[in-house]
Amino acid sequence: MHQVKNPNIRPLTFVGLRLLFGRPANEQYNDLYRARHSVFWGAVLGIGISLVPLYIVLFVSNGMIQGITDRYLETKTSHLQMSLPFSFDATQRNALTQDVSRMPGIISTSFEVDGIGLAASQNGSTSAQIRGLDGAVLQDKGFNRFISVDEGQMYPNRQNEVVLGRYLARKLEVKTGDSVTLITLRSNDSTNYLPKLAVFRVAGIISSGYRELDANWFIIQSDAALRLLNSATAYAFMGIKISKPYGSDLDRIASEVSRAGQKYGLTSEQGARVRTWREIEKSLFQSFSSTRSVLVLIMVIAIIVAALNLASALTTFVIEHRAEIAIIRSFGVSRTQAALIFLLGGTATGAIGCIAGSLAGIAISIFINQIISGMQAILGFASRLLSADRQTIQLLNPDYYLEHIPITMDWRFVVLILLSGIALSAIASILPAMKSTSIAPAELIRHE
Amino acid sequence: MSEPIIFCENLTKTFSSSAEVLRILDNADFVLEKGKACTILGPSGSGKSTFLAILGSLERFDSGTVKIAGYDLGQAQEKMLHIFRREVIGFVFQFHFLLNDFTALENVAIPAYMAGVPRAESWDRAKKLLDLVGLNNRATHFPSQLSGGERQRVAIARALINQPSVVLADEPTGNLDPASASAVKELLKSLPEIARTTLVLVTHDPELAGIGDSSYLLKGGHFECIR
Repeated sequence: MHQVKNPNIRPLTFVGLRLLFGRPANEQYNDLYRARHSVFWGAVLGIGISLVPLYIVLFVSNGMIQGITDRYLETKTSHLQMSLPFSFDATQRNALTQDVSRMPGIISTSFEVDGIGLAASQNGSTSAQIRGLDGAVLQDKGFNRFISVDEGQMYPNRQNEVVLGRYLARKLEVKTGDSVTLITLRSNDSTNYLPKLAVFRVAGIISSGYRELDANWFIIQSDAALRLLNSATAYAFMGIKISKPYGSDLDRIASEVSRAGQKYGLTSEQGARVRTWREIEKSLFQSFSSTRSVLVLIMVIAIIVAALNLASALTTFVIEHRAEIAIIRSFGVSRTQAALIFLLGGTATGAIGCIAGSLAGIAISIFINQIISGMQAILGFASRLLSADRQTIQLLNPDYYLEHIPITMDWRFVVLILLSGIALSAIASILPAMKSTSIAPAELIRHE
Repeated sequence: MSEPIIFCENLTKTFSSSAEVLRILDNADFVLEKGKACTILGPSGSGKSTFLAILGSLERFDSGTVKIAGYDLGQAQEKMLHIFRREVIGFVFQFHFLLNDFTALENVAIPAYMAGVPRAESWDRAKKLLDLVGLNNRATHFPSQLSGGERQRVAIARALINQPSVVLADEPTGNLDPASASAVKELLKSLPEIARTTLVLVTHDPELAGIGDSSYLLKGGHFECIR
């Protein structure tokens, strides 16, 4: 008697894939044959296509969130903020700054006074976010990395100079050298407010690359801000940057900075509190994360639909090809092996789709900026052909998106998506695979 | 008398419909020695194909004993029957039942490959069998590219790939035109000798009825030895 070795999955996969996809060299490759097998190419395409937006959403949103976070941290929030009372004089401030700067893990400190005011030019007026910065920002690598100078300089050299955010300058219709009036409110008893006017010469126009962040920036020297604002209408703080802002040392360093402040009589009761960037921008990043989660959920539903399409195609195949299954069973293939043919075939179909979709999704994510630029150029060209209006078409409104999307490629996501997609295909194949076990080789007799 | 490879005793098989109970096999006895070939004749509807299906474990029977190559088919559970089909039986049906998406070579090789024989060895065996049935030059052709006779010869090669102890052939020339049937008949005649197997052949064809060592007529649910 012929003894066989233990069957393995390779022949089952071979038979499964050939049954599902057919073979183009077959002369039977007529319309009917093509239609029968194209269902599975459709399933592959469905799974592949469903993965593409998931990759784009994940990588682009991660990149966007990372890019926006970096900009907030490096150009505005800093990694840690130690709020300072207005009564804290320059001598004490310098001493504290030196103490904090010497702490391990801290790379820079700067003093800032923030408030709001009304900026006015000859062409109009609008609210302004006053940022009184000290000259230390010029040495700040993070600030320099993200700030681009449209005109003039990055920092006002004189107390009567201002550097404006790009959109504020546009709104006021001013350029470097023009004058801008700033109206602020001062109050000594928090009930009576007195307006204060100051005229500044525009020394520069800058952008952080994210309009939401810099739209109303009115950057003046910190000393000028202290003159115009007081504790009732403004907030003074020491911005501190550390070497690893996303690391686990953030809270520990915050505690150490807080202890350093206590030496100068700065306590939380006095309003001198040290906060991390995670606390300061908590609501903003929760909003980003929620949006990303909803988008990912929608994409996952699309993948489930694609997997159901695969299940449907497989079930139809099993129903329509009972004879082939009965033939294979007549060779001595067990019910389990028959089920495995379709389970492996379906899983392999899903795997092909997942790999193709992953490659496409990763490629599109990597080149998303070029793709968007290309699409904008094409749409702009089409729009110019169709209308006399020569407006620029922007697919992503820079009011809400970064001008350049930084792509953060996390290979753990790729592995997770691939494995999940393949597992989902395997799950989708279970029912049709089980259906195939109900087909007995005796059906061949009835087919004769 | 040498050891019987097929032993059937008091074999009964009925088909029930709402109108009647049809007794296809009625306490039938059948014995065939190892390595012998026999033909089974009988009028249409006499139960020849049903008997073959029972021998191949495709069909269950009502009562009696069927033992083939050490397997007691009446007692064997479903999970044993696929091993029986894989290791003991080679089928040749009236219709070729080749898989359309596979070449002639693949059709022959697949039963061995799926039974766990390594790919290279399965394909090697299949090539030799295609050579045996005279179709080596058609190895890469798909069933749709083969004539009816060629397809049936591929089916015969496939039945032999796992070196079965028993080959069951159910009117293998029944669907063929005379020209195509001729080559298949020649192959069947030499099969017991070249494949060193036991052959049970159901046929209506007078020319095929004469092959092998014995012939039985199935009539009224019983076997009658006619040669």
